Amino acid sequence: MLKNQLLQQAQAKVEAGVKNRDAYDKLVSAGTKIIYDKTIFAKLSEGIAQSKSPVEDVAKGLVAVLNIMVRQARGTAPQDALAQAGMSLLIDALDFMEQAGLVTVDKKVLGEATQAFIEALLPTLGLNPQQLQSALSSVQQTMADPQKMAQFQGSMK
Amino acid sequence: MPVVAVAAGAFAVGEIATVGIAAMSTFEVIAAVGAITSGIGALTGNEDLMKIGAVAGLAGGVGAFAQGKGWLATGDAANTASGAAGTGNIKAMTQTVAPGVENTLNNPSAWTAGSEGQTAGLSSGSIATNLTTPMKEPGLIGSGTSDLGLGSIADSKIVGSPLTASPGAASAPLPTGQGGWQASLGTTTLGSTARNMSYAGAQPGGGVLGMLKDFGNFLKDNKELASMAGNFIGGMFDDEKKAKADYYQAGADSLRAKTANGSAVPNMGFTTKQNGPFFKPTSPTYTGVSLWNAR
Repeated sequence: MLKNQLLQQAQAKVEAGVKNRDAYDKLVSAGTKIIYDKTIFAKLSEGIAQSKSPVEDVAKGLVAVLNIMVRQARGTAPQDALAQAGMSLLIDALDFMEQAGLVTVDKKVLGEATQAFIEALLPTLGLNPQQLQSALSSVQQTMADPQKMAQFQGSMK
Repeated sequence: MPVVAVAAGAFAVGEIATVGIAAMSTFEVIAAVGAITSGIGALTGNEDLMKIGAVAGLAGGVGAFAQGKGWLATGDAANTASGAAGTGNIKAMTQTVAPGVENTLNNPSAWTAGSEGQTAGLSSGSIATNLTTPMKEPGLIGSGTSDLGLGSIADSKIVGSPLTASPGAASAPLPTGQGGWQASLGTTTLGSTARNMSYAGAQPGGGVLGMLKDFGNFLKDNKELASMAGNFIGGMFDDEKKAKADYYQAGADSLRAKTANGSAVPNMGFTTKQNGPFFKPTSPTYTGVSLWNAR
């Protein structure tokens, strides 16, 4: 149970968007077991204690954990569930760090952690800057067409 | 058994449907990331995150929709091949065994996890990248894999997106720095509404989030699109979703508790229920006088 109320709310936000519940739960479970493995946990704790930017390093470390899971899953892990599970694990980690007295999680810290996490996560999901740029360029053309956007709006109702 | 094998076990072949990355289009990934970012941004009041999240949500949603409709031309570098599958029902999508799950792309390129400062000012070249080169893991976990029982990182293959650049896009020069997307469309006059899509391009040093943020700059001149983007944030406050979120959170809490209990050392201490002192501490100790202690 998360102690920090802000993190509880953040957790609710993340889980509100979960579509693939089964995959999400499996990912969170697997990620939790990896993080709290004796060896890995010791390394993580050591890294956090020595880090100048513990929040940012925790976010990046979690992406590395997700990377491990992606490799082990041989690409079968749904990417949206991966992002959500990773965020959930990050929230857990922040709560732990606060309970350990390493950081006080407020809105600023949560925002920074989220930003660092997303920035590190996108390449893991196969979305490097070049691909993102191409994707956004293609979307731009569709957005420029009012008729197509009207159809899109209609589909959202 | 290495702990990491747990992750593999979680996705054992046959245990879940093989979705494959091909079935998940780029735009759905963008939309999923946008949902997270906008939700956290709304919670923390971080305007940057809100903007990025809303833009990503809108771009992802429009892109996925456009893919499904086949509107994205073959000249685009988006994954048009799986666009239709990507926008379909999740259940239907997971029934399909996606081909090329371990698709190896051309032109090796190493990406470091958590790379920041990736800018639009990249040298031009083929957009297709080979993600078989293992990502450099942060020093937080350690440089070697032997500690984690993973074996050699070089032996494992990172499955990246199977996005393949179409010939047209591959030859297109990447925009560099400011003005990267400017004037690509200018002012459109399709239908009865003119939509100005020109704006200053991506600023250097902003990374992928900066890229999304800059892409959203055009919303300033397009209130209709800005309104749509705002809906992606508003959806996070939907009452029905909140109720579902509470339900799922309860389930997640239960799962975490089980996980924690599984690894926790059981407390064998016995506790006695105290109802409070029967006698007040200041009360004199009563010593009963009986034949046993009478003198």
